[in-house]
Amino acid sequence: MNYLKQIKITKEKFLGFLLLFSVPFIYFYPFSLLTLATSLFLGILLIKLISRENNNLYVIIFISSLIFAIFVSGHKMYNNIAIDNVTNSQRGEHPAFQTNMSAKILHNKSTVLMYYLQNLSDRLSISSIFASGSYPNISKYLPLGLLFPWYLIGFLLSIRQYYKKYLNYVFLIALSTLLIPASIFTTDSAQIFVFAVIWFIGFASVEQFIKLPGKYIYSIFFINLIYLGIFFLSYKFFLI
Amino acid sequence: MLKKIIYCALFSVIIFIAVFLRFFRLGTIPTSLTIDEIGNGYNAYSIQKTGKDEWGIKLPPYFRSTGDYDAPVLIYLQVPSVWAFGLNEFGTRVPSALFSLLITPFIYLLCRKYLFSKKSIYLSLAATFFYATSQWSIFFGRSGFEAVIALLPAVVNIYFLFRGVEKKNPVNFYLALIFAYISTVSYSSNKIFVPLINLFFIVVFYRSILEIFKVELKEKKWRLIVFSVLYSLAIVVLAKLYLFGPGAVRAKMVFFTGDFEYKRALMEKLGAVGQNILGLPMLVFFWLKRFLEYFSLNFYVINGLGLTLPGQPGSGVLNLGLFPLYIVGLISLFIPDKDKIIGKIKIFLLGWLIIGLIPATLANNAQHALRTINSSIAAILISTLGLSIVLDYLAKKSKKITTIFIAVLILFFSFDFVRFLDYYTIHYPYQLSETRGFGWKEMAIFADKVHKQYDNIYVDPRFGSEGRTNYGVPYSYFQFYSQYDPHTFHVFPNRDSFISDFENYHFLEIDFNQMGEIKGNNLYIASPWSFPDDLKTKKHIIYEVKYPNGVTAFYAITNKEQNETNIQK
Repeated sequence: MNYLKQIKITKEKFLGFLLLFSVPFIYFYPFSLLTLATSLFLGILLIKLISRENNNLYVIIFISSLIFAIFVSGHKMYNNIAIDNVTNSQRGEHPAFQTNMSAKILHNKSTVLMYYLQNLSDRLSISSIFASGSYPNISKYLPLGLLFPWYLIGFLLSIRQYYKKYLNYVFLIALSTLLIPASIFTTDSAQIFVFAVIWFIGFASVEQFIKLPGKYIYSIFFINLIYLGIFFLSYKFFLI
Repeated sequence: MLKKIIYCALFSVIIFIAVFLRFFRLGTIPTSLTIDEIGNGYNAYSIQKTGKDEWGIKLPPYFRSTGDYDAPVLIYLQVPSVWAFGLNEFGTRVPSALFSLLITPFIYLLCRKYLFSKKSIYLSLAATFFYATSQWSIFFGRSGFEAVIALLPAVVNIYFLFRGVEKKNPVNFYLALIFAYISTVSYSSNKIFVPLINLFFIVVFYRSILEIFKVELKEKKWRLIVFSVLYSLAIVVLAKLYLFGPGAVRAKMVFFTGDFEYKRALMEKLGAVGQNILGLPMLVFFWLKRFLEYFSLNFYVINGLGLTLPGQPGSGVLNLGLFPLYIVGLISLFIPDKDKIIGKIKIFLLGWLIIGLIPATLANNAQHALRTINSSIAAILISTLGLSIVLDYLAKKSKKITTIFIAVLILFFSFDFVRFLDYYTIHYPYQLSETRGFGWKEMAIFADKVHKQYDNIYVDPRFGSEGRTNYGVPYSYFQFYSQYDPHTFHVFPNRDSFISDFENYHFLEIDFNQMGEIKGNNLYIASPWSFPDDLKTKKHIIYEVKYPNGVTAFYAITNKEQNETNIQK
């Protein structure tokens, strides 16, 4: 309790909280509280790792959390019959080495690798994060992002300001370890890892916004609400 | 001296690679001419033979073709190549392959003299090599696309803009504007890209340009006035013919509000009331979605070129080895630079990339690699910038790491280039040959041999291995491969009524199930699903064309019973 008393809630922190927790995916994407909490925690750890170089404590917590996240995610691999069919049929299109062992290894593995990259692109492309991607229970054509489109500007400003920190290898390794399950797991299992990255981008972006004078922060929050309002109004038309 | 020889040798090797990748088996790879290539080729043939296009219009400023009013430059460039190499695949594709090749030295000049002038010459050579082996360039350069024709003058335009700022000579700007004009006339997307990129350049380098033209105004006022008057007149002509006249038809046809996703999946679902309230924000957000889709891994690495069926991995527009460098380069564009000139170059590269994407985002279809080809050069240059940054960074660490990095880069680059060749030469014709109009050529050649034996030849323009998914313009294939005399076609009596029938060929939808039986001494050419099963027998089929995947594309069927020996496949 003493620790909680030490936390000072400033105006900036409060506005930052509003900006962060008004992001669309919280309201439009179906997920469990456990997924939300775990991904949020992993996102916070990424922020910690980027701001404190070689902090062993955070590295250990991150690894433990990642193992926990893998455990609770269901860790189902994205390797279904569709991939097998496509890899085999594509190899079969080669007249000369349909059954050749090296072709099986090279061609099949590269096709599967591309499938995983495709998953990553579908889940974490700039378009998915900022302008689409808020399905699965609404039409994928609805241009509703996981974050607000203008958070891309905040994220770019963050890169511009902290690009040296972004090159911190501990952070890069941590980010990469999140991207692996985000690409090789099924959509449900990958949620925690995808959202961890989304939270991180959200934090980075909001951190830039709260440096602005108060009236601008309120304006951003107001625009956020309008954006949410537009999609709440149109939401029912696009339910699957 | 030795160094110069090495540089020249490396440059020559790169040019040789560029020539090889653009001209080797140009007539057969990619498989079959598309409907646009066929139409353009025949129009070029018609111009060469009669001075008129297929509609009998003398030296038209745009080509009506199949109703989409094609830009003129490519077709006029095809006239000498069709004359020299004949009306065939090679003759039709030579101009775009050549223009794609000619961009290569300009990439080197742009990099060496302006963009990376303070860096090692190897970096400029690397950029030139990346362009020479760019799948984005090879894929479109080997097909007769207007976009490639427009890209060369656009690049030359940008080169002269930089040269103008460097030499402080207005003549370079005049030359730049002439190339800008040619590029604008050559392709629809460049009507947006070229003016915007020129304006953007002026904004970025306005101080230097202002000084140059202040001097020009003092010293050679007459030159500036004459050029301005002539150029203004040329712009009036351009606007009249290509921006507001029939030449704008194509742009109207593909504008993104007519997009299937936007119209059907968004607007129709909103309903009339919803459209009134939410129509505008949806339009903005839909456009934004389309714009941001051009920054996805899927476009750059996985299937941006569309060489496989939707949903299947194929080949992206950028090499997998270059993609991480592209990301590094792209991020670096947002990071301020101490050197003002480099800072301006970075801003210009970012602008080039974004402006190159804008025309495609305003048109229908997501992730259209052809319409964004103006960005391809910017993407290659940004990747080279990324390479420069990574090499500079690693050089500070250790030589060993730099060597390992270069080895890994070469490995990934080679791996993905082989993947591209695999998809381009094996999977693309296997999976998507029907989208390129495969089969019409074979049928046209066959029909040309036998058409005199029949009273009428009926051709159904609908095709598709899985049903009536495509509607073609087969008459162009039949004219092209029979080298049909254009003059005879011009004066054909029904031509004015938009009927493309000629000789005893008739192009119309055929419903055999309603006809019951086929009568007379006629030949029917159509997809397998057009014919009832009792006609698809050896007795009636006299010719069959199969797609590379073994599925039948077309049958030629007659009511005359055939001997076994007459059946051709």
